[in-house]
Amino acid sequence: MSDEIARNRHKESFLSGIIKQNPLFVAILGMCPALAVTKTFEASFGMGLLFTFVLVCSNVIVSLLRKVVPEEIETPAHIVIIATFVTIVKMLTNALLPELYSSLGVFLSLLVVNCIVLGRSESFAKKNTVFDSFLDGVGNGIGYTLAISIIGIIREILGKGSLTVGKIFTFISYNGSPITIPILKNSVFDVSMGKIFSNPAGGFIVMGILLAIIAAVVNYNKAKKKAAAKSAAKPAPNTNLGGAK
Amino acid sequence: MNETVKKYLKVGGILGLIAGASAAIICTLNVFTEPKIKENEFNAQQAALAKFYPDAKKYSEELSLKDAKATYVLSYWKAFDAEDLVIGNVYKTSGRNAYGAITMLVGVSKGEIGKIVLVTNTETYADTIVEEYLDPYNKGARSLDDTKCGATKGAELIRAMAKEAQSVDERLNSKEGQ
Repeated sequence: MSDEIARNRHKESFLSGIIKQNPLFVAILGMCPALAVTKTFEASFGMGLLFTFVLVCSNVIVSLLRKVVPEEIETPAHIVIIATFVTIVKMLTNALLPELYSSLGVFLSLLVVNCIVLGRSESFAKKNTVFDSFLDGVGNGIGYTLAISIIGIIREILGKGSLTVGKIFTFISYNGSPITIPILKNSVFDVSMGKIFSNPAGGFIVMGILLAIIAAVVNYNKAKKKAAAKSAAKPAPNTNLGGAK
Repeated sequence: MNETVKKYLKVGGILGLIAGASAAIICTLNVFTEPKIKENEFNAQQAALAKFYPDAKKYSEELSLKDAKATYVLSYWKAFDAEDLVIGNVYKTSGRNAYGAITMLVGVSKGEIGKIVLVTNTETYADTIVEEYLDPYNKGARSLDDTKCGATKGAELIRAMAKEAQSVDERLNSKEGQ
C-alpha cells in the first residue's frame, strides 16, 4: 500500500510540471526568456535543455542539503547553488556550443534569478526527498522545454517561413550546412506578412494566442465535467404516472 | 561564547562552506573549459579576419595599439596584397552597454569603414543586431548611421566602435605618413 502511495507521489511529482502545472502555460512563470529567446526553434530548445539541467541539479542539491541549511540562510544558499549551476552551464555552453551561447546572450546568466528555478527550490525541493525533487525538476524542465519549443516553432515558421536545424546545434547538418525546411515560402502567407513574429512583439502575440487556446480547452472541459456532474445528481424521472398504490 | 554568537557562526560557516564548494567546482571546471573557449574565440577571430579583404594574401601579426584616445579599439592587423603592399587594416574593438558586451572586427581601407564582423555578442538582442543592422550594412543596404533596427542601443554601440576605428586608422596613417 505504502509502495503504491510512493509510486503515485513520484508519478505526480514528474507529471504535474509537464501539463497540469506547466510552468509557462499554466503558472505563467519564466516569461522573460520565453519571449526573448524563442525567435527560432533551435534557440528555444537549447534554452529548454539548459534550463532543465540547472533546474534538476539545483533541485537535487537543495533537497540533499535541506536538513543542513538553517532556515535563516535558505534563500541565499539556494541562490548560491543555482548560480553555481548556471555558471557551469555557461562555461560548458561557451566551450562546447558557442553558437548556442551567443544566441542566448544575457538570458543564460539570468537563469540565476529565474522564478521557476528559485520557486521549485523554495516550494518543493526543500520539503521533499531527493528522488521526488529530481522528478519534479525533470517534469518541470520537460514542461518548460515543450512550451518554449512550441512558441519557437510557431515564431520561426511565421516569421521566417521556414524551419532551420543545424545552425546552432552544428553537429546536425546536411553536407556541412544547416537543414532548412521551407514551410511558408512562396505561399499565400508570405514571409513579409509574418515578419512581426520575428520581433519581440511577435513573442507576446504567439504567447497570447496559445494561452487563449489553452484557456478555451480548460473551460470547455470544466463545463463538460460540470454538465456531467449535474445530470448524474438529477433524480431519476418518476415514470409511475398513474399513481397506483 | 553566548548562544547568539554561536548561531551566527554556524549560519555563516554553512553559507561559507556552500560558497567555497561552489567556487572550487567552478575553478576546477574553468581549468578544462578555458583553453577550449580561447580556442573557439581565436577560431572565430581567424574566420572573421578572412572575410575582410578577398585580395589579401596575408595578414600581419596582431599589433597592439598605443592610442590614448581609443576606448574601444584594442589591437589591429594589417592586410597585405600579393606585392606586400598594405591594402587596409582590420581593427579589433570591444565595448559594453547596459545590455551586454560586443567584440567585433572593423575593416578600414583608405579611411573608409568597410565590413564589420561580430566576434562575440552577449547583448540581449544579439540576433536582431546581426539580422536587422549588420547584415544589411555589410550588403550595402543600410547606412551605419541608421541605427533604428529593434536593437538601437546595440547598433549605436557598434556605430561608435566603428567610427573610433576609423579615427584611429586616420591617426595611424598620418603618423606613418610623417
